[in-house]
This record gives sequence, C-alpha cells and structure tokens, in this order.
Amino acid sequence: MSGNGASSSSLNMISGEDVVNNNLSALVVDDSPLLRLLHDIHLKKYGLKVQVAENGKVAVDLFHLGASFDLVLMDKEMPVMNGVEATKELRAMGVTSMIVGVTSKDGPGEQQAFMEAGLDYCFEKPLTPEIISFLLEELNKHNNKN
Amino acid sequence: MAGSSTDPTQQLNDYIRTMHDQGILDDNFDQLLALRREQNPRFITELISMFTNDAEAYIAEITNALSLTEVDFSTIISKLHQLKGSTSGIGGHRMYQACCELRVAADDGDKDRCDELFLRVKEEFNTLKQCFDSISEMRRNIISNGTRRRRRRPL
Repeated sequence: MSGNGASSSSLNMISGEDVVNNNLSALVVDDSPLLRLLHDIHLKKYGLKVQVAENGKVAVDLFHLGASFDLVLMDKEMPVMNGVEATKELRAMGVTSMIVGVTSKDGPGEQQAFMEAGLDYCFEKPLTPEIISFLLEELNKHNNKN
Repeated sequence: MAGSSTDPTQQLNDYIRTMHDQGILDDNFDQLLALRREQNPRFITELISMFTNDAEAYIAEITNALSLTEVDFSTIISKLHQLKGSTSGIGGHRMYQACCELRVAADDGDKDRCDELFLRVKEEFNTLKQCFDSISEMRRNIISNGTRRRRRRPL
C-alpha cells in the first residue's frame, strides 16, 4: 500500500469514531479556498488541529519558521510553488511528517511523478472521510511505533 | 420520478437522486450533506455561495483570456485548474467533466476547440446553479414546515 495511489475500495477502513485524535496536527496546502475549507472541516471532525496554506511556498515557509505537523495534505498544482516542488523541499529539509498528495482525476502518471517527490500516499481530491480515517489510522500506527 | 411524494424531505431526496441519475451531482455532494448535519444549518448554503462566487470569477477570467488576440492559454489553464478543484469539491460531476475536456484543448493550444468546450462549461455551470437553487428552495420549505409544526404544538 505504501507508496501507491490507493483507492478507497482497496483500503482496510475502520470507523471514523475509532480515530479521534486530540494531539495530532495537520497542514492543508491547496490553492482552492473551497477545498481548503472542506479538508479543514473533515480533519477537525477527527479532532486534529488544522492550519491551511494557499501554496507550496507558504507551507515550506511555515516549516522553516519552526512549525511542525503530523500530516500534510498537499495539492499538486498550485501557483508560486507547486506540490511536487514543495514536497521535495520539505523532504530535503528533513521533514518526516506524513505527506499525502491530492490530485485531480488526471491519470496514474500524474500520481507517480508526485509520489517520487517524497509522498507517503497520493489520492484523488477531495479526500473522503473513509480515506481520512485510513490516513489517521496509519498515522497512529506510525506514532505508536516511535 | 416514480412515487412522487408531498413530503418536502422526500421531495428533496428524490430531487437529489434525480440529479445523480442525470450526472449533474456525484458522491462528493453527498459527503457535503453528511457534513452539514455536524456543521451550522447554513453550511451548505454558504458552501454553494462560495463555489458560485469563485466559479463566476474563474469563468470571467477565462473569458478574458480567450478573447485576447494572443490567447493566454497559461491563464486559462491556471484558472481552469482552480475551477475544476472547486467543482470537484462541490460534487458537480458534469461540469467537472466539461472542465477536463476544456483542459485538454487548452493544453493543445486549440482556440476553436476551447471556445466550443468553454461554452459547454458555462452551460453546465448554469445547470448546476439551477440545481443548487432548487435544492436551496426545497430546504427552505423543509425548514419553514418544521417551524410551522412547532408553532402549532399546544403550550
């Protein structure tokens, strides 16, 4: 599963009520105000603290300023700095957050190029509650191991 | 529509199902309805308003870009990407597909095809707006019916 653009039907889902996380933080990086709002609402439903950024440069600058997030939802196409560049830069900085790419329904080639920038997962936008549940479950497993 | 009902909630559900059947709405809109129950009562209205305002602005910018002597395909692609994202988020399935087709034409730098496909994007946007207007009207009826029933209750 890791490193693939999985679909929601192939994921082992658990109920959203099982993954309420009061200690996790997320950064939503998307140039669409509507999608930022939707993802913000979905993540807050699970108890995450959420910040938003309208492009990759804003996201990278936040990390440069010392911010840290458990989860980053990264749109691919954005002005100023796109998701591929931002992901590469974050990984080069040593950021180990779970970075999840969100792309348009434009084909597997688009997801593959994005994955190679350093994503943990890549899904079509907008993310569904089922996919968010899956990501939070993976995040919890990862945090429990450390 | 089989089995038409006078119950406003059932009418709304039937209408949304019809919009799904016609491909105008998809599952992403249903996700928003599910979120509505946990948010403020005007959540859907505010989201639709946000979508409509943003979409009109993007469409205006694409119109300008297409009208230039030297067509600005870069702006078209940029604004179309944002329009696609918003449309996908709100669950406007046919409009999203129209945007995807326009994107291909813009990538190819084909002005004539862009003009033709942009017309379809605008048509689908108008269809989607009418759909949302109908849904908003039905929801207002549901709310006002609920208010009237509560007022009739004996003290």
